[in-house]
Amino acid sequence: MRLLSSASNRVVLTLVTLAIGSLLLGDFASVQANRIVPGSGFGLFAALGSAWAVALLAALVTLAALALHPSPAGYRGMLLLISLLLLQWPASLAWFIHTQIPADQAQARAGLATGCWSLLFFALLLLIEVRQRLAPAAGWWRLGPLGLLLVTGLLIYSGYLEPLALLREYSSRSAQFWQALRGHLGLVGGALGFSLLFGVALALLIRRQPQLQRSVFGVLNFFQTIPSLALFGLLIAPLSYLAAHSPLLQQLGIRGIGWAPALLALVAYSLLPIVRNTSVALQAVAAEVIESARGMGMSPWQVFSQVRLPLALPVILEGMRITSIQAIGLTAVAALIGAEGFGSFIFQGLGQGAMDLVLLGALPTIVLALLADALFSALARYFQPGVG
Amino acid sequence: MSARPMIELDNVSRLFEGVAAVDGISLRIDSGEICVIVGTSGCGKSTTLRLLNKLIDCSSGDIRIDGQAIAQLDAQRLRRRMGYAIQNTGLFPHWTVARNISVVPRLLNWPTERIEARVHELLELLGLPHADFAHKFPSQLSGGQAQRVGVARALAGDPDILLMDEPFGALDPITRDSLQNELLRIQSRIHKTIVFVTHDIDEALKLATRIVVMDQGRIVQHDTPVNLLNHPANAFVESLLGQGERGLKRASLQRVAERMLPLQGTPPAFSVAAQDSLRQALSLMLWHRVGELCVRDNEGRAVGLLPISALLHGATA
Repeated sequence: MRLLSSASNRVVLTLVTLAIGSLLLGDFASVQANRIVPGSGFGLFAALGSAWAVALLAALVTLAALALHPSPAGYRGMLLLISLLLLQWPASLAWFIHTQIPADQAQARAGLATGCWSLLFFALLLLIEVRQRLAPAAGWWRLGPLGLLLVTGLLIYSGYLEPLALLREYSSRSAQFWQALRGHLGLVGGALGFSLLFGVALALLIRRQPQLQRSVFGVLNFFQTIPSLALFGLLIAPLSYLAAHSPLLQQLGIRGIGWAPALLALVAYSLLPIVRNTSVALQAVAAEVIESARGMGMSPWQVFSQVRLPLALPVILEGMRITSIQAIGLTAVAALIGAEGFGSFIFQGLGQGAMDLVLLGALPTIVLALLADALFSALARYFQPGVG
Repeated sequence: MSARPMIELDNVSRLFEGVAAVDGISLRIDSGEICVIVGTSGCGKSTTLRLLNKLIDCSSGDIRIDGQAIAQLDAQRLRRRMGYAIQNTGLFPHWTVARNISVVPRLLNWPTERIEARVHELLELLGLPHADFAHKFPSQLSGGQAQRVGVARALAGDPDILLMDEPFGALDPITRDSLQNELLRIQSRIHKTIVFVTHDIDEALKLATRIVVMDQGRIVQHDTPVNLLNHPANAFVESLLGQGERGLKRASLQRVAERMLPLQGTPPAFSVAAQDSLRQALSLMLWHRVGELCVRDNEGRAVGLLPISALLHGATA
């Protein structure tokens, strides 16, 4: 029997090979005596000890063996192994900290290196692949990632992960962190709110006056082509001028830098997806549905609010999904012109060469984008017509 | 004529960019009629229908519904008094069957219990059990079921008038046939005034009490199906009827019961039902190669004799 048959799951085999390779070739984690000095790297065996390292590799090899001749039972076994890999991930970090960092060194910090990141990354990809093969009955694929979050949370809460560089950066800036979160969400929410208001109004205007369509989309497309940094920069001068000559604007806190130019730029970028999706969605409602709504005796407002808008809603929500993800990313960049948000950590970290501070800004930004994606996708599914 | 005129059109025209889609038509439709407007594409039949519920306004002329000129009526109120069913149903995809049917009753602000009772009643009337269908969405229905819901929705506000624009046009022949029978069955119970637009002359002959043939925006002929077959007004109506099929079409409009003779002696071996059409009887004779059939009633009793000569003679209307 050939080792690699046509039935083998090559995706799993490739991912496992890459995971093993990065665990063996790269550092697993590192230790710094304090924030300034360069850290020293630890390979897999040095970081976790032989027993843990061998068990980890054995689990990966078993996974590969199961993928050679996969069966439904084999896939369930793979899912179990992947869930265990995810669960042990925060535990292995805690174990590394426990064995390598003396408790009396308050400045010493542990960093995550290639091996550690790749293991998490490949384990999640493996989860996606195996979950598809097990569809549709295996709802317990969620146990792995949920357990990962739970164990990580517990370990953070109980202080075992305290010496992680990321958490050290957080604990010295916890007040700023929550301030940044509020600032980030405030800007994104404000941009989304304003662009929804103006975007829907513009879309309705285009429906009334189709000859405006070309020019409206021309202007909005033009905004999209301006690089975000340039647009932020371009807004500083006019806003400074306006603020300097208007006490009212000064009282509102509008200045050439800060949230005002950031919000304006975000709204400018957000309008295109909202206007485009809204006008396309409103136009795409089937003519015979509108015809019968009118024929039943609905008023124009009832046709719009009860028929056209609800049928267009999933596509409008899709526009809001794109807009919110885009705005979350752009808000990070807006830190450069003094807007609050996670971007300030990223740029500070880049300036100081402190990658963990960069991560403290980047990771929450990514999480926010993923949450916005999930939220609006779920809303669009919920409002999908005719799904009971 | 004792019947009350329900819909009257008086010299009605509708121009689109100077071209008359409907050109000076006058028409009277009595209460309880099924008036079928038939014609080729672009003859103005759908436009005429949409003039009745003011989806389109007349360019000139008067339309009266139940004696009231519709020019003076509010369009939305007028439409709520008329059922409207169209091709491809136009069901609202985001609402359940029950919610779709309740559209007009809700617009009329009926109390909730009355709406629920009405939805229940209509689903049963259309042969869609409430428990199975009320909570389905249109995407979960077959074409025939969806069109039944469309008809139920049109009937929901208990309108006097039902406007139907090629409602069965997109259905397969078998489903269409069963829905046509369904419509005749329902009409025999509810006695609405129905204006029905189609391009299918067989559908028109089957359903209509009177047929309006339209061509280039004008009414070519307005008559009962039998008269239309016997006395087509011009070559256009003749071609619409299909020259070679006219005899069979007329035969399909007449019942065996109208032509049967008293039973004498031993009944023939092959039978036909009294309510079947002469066309079906002729087909049976051709198939079995016999010259006479035994006529049986609903209970299967032999009640008469149908010789082939009865098809040829007998009163023509």
